[in-house]
Amino acid sequence: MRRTTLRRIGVPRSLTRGWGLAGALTLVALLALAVAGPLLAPHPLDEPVADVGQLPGPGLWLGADQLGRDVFSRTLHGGLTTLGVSVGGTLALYLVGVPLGVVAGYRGGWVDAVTVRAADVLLALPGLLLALLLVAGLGGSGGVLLLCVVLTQLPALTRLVRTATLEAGSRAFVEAARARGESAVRVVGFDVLPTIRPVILADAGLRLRSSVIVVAGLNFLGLGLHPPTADWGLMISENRDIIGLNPWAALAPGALLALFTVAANAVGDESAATRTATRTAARTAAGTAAGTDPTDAAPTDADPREARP
Amino acid sequence: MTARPQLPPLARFLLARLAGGAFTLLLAATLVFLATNVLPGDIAHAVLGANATPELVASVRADLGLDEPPHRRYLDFIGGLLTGDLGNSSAALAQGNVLPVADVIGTPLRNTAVLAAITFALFVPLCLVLAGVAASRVGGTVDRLLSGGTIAAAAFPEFLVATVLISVFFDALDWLPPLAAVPEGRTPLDDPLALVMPVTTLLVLCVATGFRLVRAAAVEVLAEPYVDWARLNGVPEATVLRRYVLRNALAPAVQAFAEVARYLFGGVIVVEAVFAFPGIGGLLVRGISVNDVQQTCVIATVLAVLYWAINTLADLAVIRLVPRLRTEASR
Amino acid sequence: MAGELTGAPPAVHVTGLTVTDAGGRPLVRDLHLTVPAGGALGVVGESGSGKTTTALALLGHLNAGTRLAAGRVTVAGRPVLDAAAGADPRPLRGRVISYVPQNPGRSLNPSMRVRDLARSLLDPAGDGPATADELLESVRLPATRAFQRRYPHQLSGGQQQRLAIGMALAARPAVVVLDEPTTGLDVITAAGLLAQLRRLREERGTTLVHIGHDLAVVARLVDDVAVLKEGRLLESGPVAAVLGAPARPATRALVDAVLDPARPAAPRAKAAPATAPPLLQVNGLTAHHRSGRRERVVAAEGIDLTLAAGECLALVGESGSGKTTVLRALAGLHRPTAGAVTLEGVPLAAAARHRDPAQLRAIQLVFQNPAQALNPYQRVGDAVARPLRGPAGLPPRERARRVAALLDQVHLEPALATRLPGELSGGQQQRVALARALAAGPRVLLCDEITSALDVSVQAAVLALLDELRATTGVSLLFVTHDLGVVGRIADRVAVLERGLIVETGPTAAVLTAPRDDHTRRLLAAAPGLGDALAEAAARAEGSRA
Repeated sequence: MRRTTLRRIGVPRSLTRGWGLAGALTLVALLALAVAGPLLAPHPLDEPVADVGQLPGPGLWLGADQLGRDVFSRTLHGGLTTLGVSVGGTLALYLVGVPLGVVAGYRGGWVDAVTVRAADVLLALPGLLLALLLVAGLGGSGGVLLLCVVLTQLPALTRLVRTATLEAGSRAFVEAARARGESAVRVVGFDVLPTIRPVILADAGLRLRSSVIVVAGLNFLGLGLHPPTADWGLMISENRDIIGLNPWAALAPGALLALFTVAANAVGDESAATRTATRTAARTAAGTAAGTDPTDAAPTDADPREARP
Repeated sequence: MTARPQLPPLARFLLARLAGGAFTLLLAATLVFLATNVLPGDIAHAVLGANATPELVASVRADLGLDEPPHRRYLDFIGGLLTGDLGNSSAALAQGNVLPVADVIGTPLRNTAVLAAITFALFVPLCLVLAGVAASRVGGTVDRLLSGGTIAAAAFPEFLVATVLISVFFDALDWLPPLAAVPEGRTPLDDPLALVMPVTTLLVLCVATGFRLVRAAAVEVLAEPYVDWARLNGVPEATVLRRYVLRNALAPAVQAFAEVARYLFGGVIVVEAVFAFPGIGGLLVRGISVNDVQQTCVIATVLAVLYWAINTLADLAVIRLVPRLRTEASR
Repeated sequence: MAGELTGAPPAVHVTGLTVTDAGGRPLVRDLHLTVPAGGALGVVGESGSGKTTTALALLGHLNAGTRLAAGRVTVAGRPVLDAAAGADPRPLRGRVISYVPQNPGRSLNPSMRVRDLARSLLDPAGDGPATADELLESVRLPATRAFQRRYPHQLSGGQQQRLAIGMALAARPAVVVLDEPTTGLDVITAAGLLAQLRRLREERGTTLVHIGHDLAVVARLVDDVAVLKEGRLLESGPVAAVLGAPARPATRALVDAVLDPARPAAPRAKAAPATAPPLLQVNGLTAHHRSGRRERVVAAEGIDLTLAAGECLALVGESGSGKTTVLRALAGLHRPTAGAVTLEGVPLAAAARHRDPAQLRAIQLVFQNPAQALNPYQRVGDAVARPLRGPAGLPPRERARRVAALLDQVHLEPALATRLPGELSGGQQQRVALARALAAGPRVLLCDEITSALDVSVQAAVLALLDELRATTGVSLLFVTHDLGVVGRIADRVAVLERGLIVETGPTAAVLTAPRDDHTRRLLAAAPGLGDALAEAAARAEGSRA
């Protein structure tokens, strides 16, 4: 019942059960923690409250970091930067990449040629290298990290959407709409977008994972946000040297970060798997719905064949 | 068609690829230059600090050629790349030393090549064995465990894997050194123990990525009608596996390996930074943090060339392996 | 029947075969079949009748997710499937029984050359071909070095299928199972292949089991036939007797649905007065296809056609004859290189987007494969309502009423409006596509092989619907097809295309019964109707008895 409500408001089937559901709930919980965390932090962020690398104890749930600051409070604060930039960047990525890919794939011609060429050039550099260059040129800040998220993944997403659009555009139902003289906007809205939606959604989890890895990676390398910002990636890097004293100072933010990326990956993988499964099922199951028209034989079986290829 | 000199089809294809590649790389080098040179951020200030006198800043800027207009610097950079003159390290120049970038990047490149080669040599057999085992029993317990494990492993950022390995094998057990520094004049192979953790970190992520791709390829080939047909007509099972399944899974496997190789470019940068391994990735990151424009540009361009070479080799291998592509490419 | 007389085991013996799917639903139930050594059995039925499951069971193969519930299959006296005792069919495959697939393009290993494929199933110890050359010659393929170096994708469909047959026969198996071997081939290629199979059978006495949905094709190869429906055996016996005089109503329905080009339906349309201007006129239409980067291939050249109001004109040809390109050019989806198209005397723009709304509504295209012609994410009602939307469209309430009326017009329940296309059968989907085309209020329906993906009984129902729509709405049809039986059933006039040129035009009955062009004659000869095929079969049986 609730599952059908979720389906009705557009939640993909893969997220309403099994690992997909678990992953989606984890993502939501971690985002909630990142947003609400700063309100719950018991100690100030930037002041030493204990000895350097002190182990966890009462009132100091995760011990102290390399400057004696409270790891628990900093962990609660540190999610918003990484996750905020990653999620925001991924949204911006889709806002740019999907229209670009659809226009290139549907319009064709020089628009397509330019888009593909530009994507090729961006793809000629390894993603992390591109991000490093941007940071080198612009310095590290939230806005630059967001730009990194968008630019490192834009070529791949645009190509994916473009290919899916090309494929959708060659379907007979799109040709039929074009032969009726329907406007490009209507054909895209009614036919192309619904057709490529599963492709895009199946990709979203994996993109989110990559976004987090790029952002946290730059912060970890010390090229993104600067101390004394509380940030999971930065905290792991800062506290590596005291891992022998208080391992939690690095491992607690690391665990939350890993939980987020694993959950995003699980969601993405589950969506992709469900998509493949529904496509194969649709091919065979078209058969089981027996025709109500008595003149029609029940369509079927394992041999979907046409008279000509 | 008739008047043109007849080159072998593959050579013609290769020439076309090289021409396209040269163009793409030129654009990539331009992008590199734009990102590092035109964007704000001034090395003279970065090196000399905020208290430097304006005269000192001006003289250092002149040494670095920063007072030239950007289009001149761009032409110098591209011209230098084409003639093999890679310029001098900007950071060293700002401190009054002359240090050719070509001298700086040689050893790190070799070190990184050693690290990547060891990882790849271990990755390929490991990946093939695991994927083969999983694909031969799709949906079985082993397949489910491997697939689930790799989903999780592929999601871990490499610096996190490295941090966990260090905390276990150095801090807790003290079996392995936490750093993989290579002293002057030595090679990484002189201290194999130090390489264990960097290689393991990369391997975990390579196998996780590669396994899923190769498994999917094997599963797909196993479901092809020609495999059924061969079995239905009594082709011996060993032949079916060798000439029908393995042979046709090779091309997608090569694509998977290329994907992993592409991943290694990013992974190596991070892993070198974590383990203080004196490779090209670590050098790049250090160069960026001190605003060494010239060195950053050169390393980025070198990496882009290598990246392009790997992609092109993989594409060529796939074309060789798939008859349909081969005959189309030669048309 | 020689096998039974001499006491040798029958080539194929199936007793009580029952195969179920994962849910326990039977795909084949309690099937009994016997094929004597040297015999040829046709297994026919529509999709879902269980004929492919049966074919695979003869080789001891069950598709993933299916289960042998009961029964036993023996080939030349040796068990390949046995629900009670179990059996290992593998040693028999290739040597005793082999398989020719319906889609040779996907069944030949794409990474092996012709020579290696031909060698892969040779049996050096047997009396079959000893070398790749001999194997290729046995199926009349060139044994040249150049040909042997080719890969499967460099062969034509007919050559692929010949190679597959040669390989299947390489080790001289007693039985060959042919699963729709001519599906996807042009009729002339298919006729050559059938002739070759008959010859191979005569020369070697191989037992054939031919699985197929086209009764006329099957009747040309086999002596006996078994008719399946929903996994059950309806009846079996000599092909001329069973299909010539069916005992069961279900078999009769199957036979009656087969269209015979030799017996075209009586012309039913009141021919439009000769003085009336044609509704659609095509003059000198020439179109090209891009092939590779710069080369262009002529798809249609100098096509002249006229279509009168209310008329049905069939455009017939093999694949590659350019018939679909002509249709797409008329629909404004393919830009012609030359020529003019006028609708009621007004010139039409080449591209659909340059035509005015009334012109767009007047010409509607219906596609071959209904599953691909409908957006799988759009409900049936919304799909039909598509042409009714937009600036000049109807308000929502009227739209719903109109959709219900349209569904009724194509004999679909209005309740289907809320279903997704994937929930409908192929015939229902094609009706939805027709309803959507009708929603625009067209003067001309361009029909691209619209029945070729359907079973014959469904095809018959859709053709009847088209007749009815012509009568009630006065719409004209331009009907592209490769099937001369369909032409005889529906068209008033026919134009025959060969390699982009119209070689013959005329009233249907005249063209089909007294063709003037050689190509038309070859097409007709290559695809005789069921009546002729049955007469042939009866003569063959007579001959072998004498």
